[in-house]
Amino acid sequence: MKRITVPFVFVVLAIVGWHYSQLSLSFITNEVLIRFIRDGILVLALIIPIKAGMGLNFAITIGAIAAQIGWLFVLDIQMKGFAGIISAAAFGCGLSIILGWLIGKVLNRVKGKEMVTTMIMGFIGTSVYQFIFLVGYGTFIPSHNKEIILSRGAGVRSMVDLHEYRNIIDKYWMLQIGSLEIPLFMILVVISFSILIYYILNTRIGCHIKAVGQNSGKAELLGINIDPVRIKAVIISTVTACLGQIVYLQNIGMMNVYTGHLNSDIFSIAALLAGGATVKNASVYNALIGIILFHFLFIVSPQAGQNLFRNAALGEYFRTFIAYGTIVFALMANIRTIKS
Amino acid sequence: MLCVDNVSKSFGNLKALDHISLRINPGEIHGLLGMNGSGKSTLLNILSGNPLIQKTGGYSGNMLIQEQEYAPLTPVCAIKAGIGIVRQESALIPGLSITENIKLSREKTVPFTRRLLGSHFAYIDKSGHRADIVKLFKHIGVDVNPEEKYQNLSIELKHFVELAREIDNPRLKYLLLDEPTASLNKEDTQKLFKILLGLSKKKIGMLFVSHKIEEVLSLCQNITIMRDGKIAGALTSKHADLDKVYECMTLQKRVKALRKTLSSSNHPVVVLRDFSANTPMESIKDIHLEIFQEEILGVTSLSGHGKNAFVQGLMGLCETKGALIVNDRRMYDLNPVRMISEGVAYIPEDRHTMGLLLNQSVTENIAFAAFQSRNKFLKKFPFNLFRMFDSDEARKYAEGCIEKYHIRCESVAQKTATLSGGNQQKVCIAGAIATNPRILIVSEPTRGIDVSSKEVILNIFLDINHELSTTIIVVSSELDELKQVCDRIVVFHDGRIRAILPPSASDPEFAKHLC
Amino acid sequence: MLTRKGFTLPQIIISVFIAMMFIAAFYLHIPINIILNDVMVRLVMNGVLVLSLVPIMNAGIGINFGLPVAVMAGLLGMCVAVNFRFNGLAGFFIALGFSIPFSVLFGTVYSYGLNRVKGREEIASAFIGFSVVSAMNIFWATAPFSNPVMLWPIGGKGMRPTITLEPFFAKTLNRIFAIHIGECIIPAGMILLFVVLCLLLSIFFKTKIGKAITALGENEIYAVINGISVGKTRACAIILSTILGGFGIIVYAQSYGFIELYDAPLLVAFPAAASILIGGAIIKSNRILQAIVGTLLFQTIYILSSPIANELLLPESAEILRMFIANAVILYALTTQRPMTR
Repeated sequence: MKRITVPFVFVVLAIVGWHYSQLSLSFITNEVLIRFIRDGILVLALIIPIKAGMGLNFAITIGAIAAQIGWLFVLDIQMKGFAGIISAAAFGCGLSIILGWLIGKVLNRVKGKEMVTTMIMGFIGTSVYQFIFLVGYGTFIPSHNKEIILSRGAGVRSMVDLHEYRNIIDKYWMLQIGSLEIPLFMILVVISFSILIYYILNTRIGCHIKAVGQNSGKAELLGINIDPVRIKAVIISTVTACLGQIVYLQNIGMMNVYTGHLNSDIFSIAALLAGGATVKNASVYNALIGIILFHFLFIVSPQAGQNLFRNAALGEYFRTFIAYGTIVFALMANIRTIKS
Repeated sequence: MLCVDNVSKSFGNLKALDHISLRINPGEIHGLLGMNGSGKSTLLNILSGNPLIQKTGGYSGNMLIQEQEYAPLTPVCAIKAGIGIVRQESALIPGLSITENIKLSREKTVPFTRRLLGSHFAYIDKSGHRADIVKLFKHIGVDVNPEEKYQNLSIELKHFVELAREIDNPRLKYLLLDEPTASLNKEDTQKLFKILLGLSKKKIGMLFVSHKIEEVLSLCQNITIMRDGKIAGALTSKHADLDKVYECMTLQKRVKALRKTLSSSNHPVVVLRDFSANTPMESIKDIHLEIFQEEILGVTSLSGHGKNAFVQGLMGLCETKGALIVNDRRMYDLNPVRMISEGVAYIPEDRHTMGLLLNQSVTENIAFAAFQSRNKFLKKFPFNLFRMFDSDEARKYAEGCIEKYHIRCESVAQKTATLSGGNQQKVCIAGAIATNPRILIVSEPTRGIDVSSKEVILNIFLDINHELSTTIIVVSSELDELKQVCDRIVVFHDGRIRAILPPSASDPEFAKHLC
Repeated sequence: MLTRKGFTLPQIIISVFIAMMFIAAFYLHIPINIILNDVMVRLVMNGVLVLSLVPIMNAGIGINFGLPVAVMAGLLGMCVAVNFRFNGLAGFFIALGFSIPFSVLFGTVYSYGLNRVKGREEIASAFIGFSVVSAMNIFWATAPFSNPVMLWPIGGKGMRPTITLEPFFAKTLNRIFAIHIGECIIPAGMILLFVVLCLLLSIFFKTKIGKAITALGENEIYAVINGISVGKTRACAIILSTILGGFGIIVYAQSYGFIELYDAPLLVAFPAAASILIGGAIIKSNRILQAIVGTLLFQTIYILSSPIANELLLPESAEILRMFIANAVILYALTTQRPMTR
């Protein structure tokens, strides 16, 4: 029954929040669609590690970091337009494969504690990334674009502009229905990724991932080499997260260099769980439904807080609490309680 | 031909296999018999490449398949060489469907995706799988929906599916079967035999391990009997009969410690009524038993047949149903804390991992249970208000213990991790005895102990029964030691009490009830 | 302290690191007596928080990333004390006293939560900590406190994110019994409090419940077989940790001079965890000693890294470096731990 309760709670909260926010449905729908596009692929990245029995992958932050490094690289050599987007993606993905392999290696050493370890690795990744670009850019990383350097001569600026890449793909095939704006192309991109993840789960490697996730001891006795399967699952996840962050930043049009990737893991995980996924099982449907539910609540909360309590900040605190609380709730489910 | 030559394996100090040699010809059904602990499972694990073997130091000796060297380090090696295994505990993955389980690591894929994306990312040929499975099941004579989840199947069907998985392997040369008929009724057993005979015609050799001696005699051409890790006999079924086999399997040992006075109390101190207990590995059902004051009761069974579930159920370490009455009090909400407050002490089988705090001293280990549950070794007023530990008093007591039980250690402050196995056992036993238990439950008291210490430990039990009037329940697979010390011996089979025999009953009689 | 076979890798790395930093400090002319004073103050300031991790670790629950729960209790204790304008050393102790009922309450609920996540305590505690911080944000924004010093100047409702303790008990513990030796100031009162806490905790682990907690952490099935109630014993350890954590943030705040609300407690667990893990790499036996030595080492790294980073690298990088060190230590501990017997 737990698979239904979490989405149900979100639906209830969303309806209550909508009522108090008094925002129009079309406004909310537009916003939800935008976030669906932005966050969709990131949430999809979480599915395969869950299927592989590694729980919630907080290290998708590192995939997001790879994407940002890709964008910085493209900004540095000042490649514009569509080619720029593709190059950023390619660079980021290449980096993600290497980093994903590393993460997988570490996770194979901590079987049973994967979730904590990915959380810590996410923090370490952030520290290393921030350090390298705060200190190294302009010093030991040669800079070709003076506009993105800080005034003191070294280090990337904390916010860089991506608006040149902005209106390239996100406005393709825009459908207007009344006041609704539906960016068809990007929605199709997200749907394609969902199909891709579904496809992967039905290939040979997908079968092995599911077997390892169900019971790695038995899978080993049945002739599956567990460690490489887990590493591949992590690599797929990291690459997908990278692509997700590329789309995210392209859609927003600007990048907070040092903080843009933070919380990508928490909100994506909360969204997936909101859609009914658990620590042990997740499907593409959980991802798609979850994003809609979670972001609906996300959008109405600040205004609801303002209208109910004259304090918009309350709405924001509330939605952060919901995100963390959902994760706690998911961690508590399905485990035998210790009797006092 | 599958050749096993002088294979030996030790787990630490325990020699599980001692120069085992055996031959299986293609198409031959070879039976393997032996009591618990004779080494059968270890041999099967080595043959099937179970990683456990390598993790515990590997094995010595040679194996050949069709003249090629066979040294499997992982299950993948065994599968590649054509060895299949159907284990006693189900080895397939509960959450996957039958088809997924059977085809795991041998998946068929859609060809053009394979050429395009490589074998890992090729799309699974689900209809191809389905066709294969339908054909296979028809051939075996099993009727079940291939998309059904494995966990939903009955135990008998699960066994057939495991067998089907091995048969589906086109490279299968030799099939190992571990207690394949343990949960099958007569009808299914006949079905199974038909399948095995069919495999035999296809020149697939089989190693049939079972406790059902009549079945082995009827099915197998050649029989090997193991005892205590060695080969005790090799017979052909033509020349074998039940008595010869029993004689080979069991062994008489010289008895030193012996129960002198048999208890005559008839006041039951523990009563079980309709008692059932379920552990992941085994279960017992609807047990009725009365255990009398001051008696020493033995409990035995083959592995998986209930003696472990009995012990765990008694202590409340697993789920239980039914009534347990201790000291005339019904135990509702059975758990270890309650049993201990009734004066029960438990010495677990795996003393190294469950019976000791390895990082702490001998004193700490001996005093622990008594301190926690009986408030022994409390410091005097006013510190007893804070429940503080009196290390001096505990130390003196521990020193008394090492004298009494001949525990060999440098001092009572020595960490138990550095003691030898036998001495660790004694520390564990001393700890249980320090609580002055009214009822003592011991599991496998002399497992892993050298011969001289065995007698010491058995004598300790006799002593505390005599001096402290402790009722003792000894659960063991060593029949001879039970005969040495017990008043009565309960034999479990398939989760129920098969018989309660006096220690004077003969070995073959025990074997009859055990198997 | 050292293994018989020689130094272990972590010991070598830490020693080399500290030596390098001292050399760098010397080179850059940073005065030693200020460093020493800083080390002593920071040892106690952070030490109590690190000490609070000990009961939970001893109980086998792992690293208490949910330290923010305890911090909340301590913050509430301080806010109540400040609200009623208690000041001076007495005010400090009253804050400690006020925090206890909050700690017991929060600790009990927290233990209920942790007992429901057997096997995943560490990750669950992290997120319980995060959720409690965000839930408390709602509380801070609407809190019924009356002392205007705590509230937003405009509007008057909702607490400030930082409340200065100057008029109350800032640095009172730091200054009491302070001994001046030449240029160096030894905060003897602070150190005395810390020593007393360590001793009390040590004695606690010699009592019946203390030994039960230790046994539970060392070998759970052994404890169960010998009649120890797992849920109750864990709850006791968790509540004790919460009380100590509450004390810890109060000691920290009075030394720092400010009460920091809202999101400040989010990441307090990580440096504390790193401290005890560093200690664990050096000292194998006694967790309390691990806490002390680990905090000493970690805080020394903190103190020395600041000026060095500022000189050689860039100012903001000091903070990034510290987070990196803390998390790297935790990752190392996670990957080299032998799997716990459960």
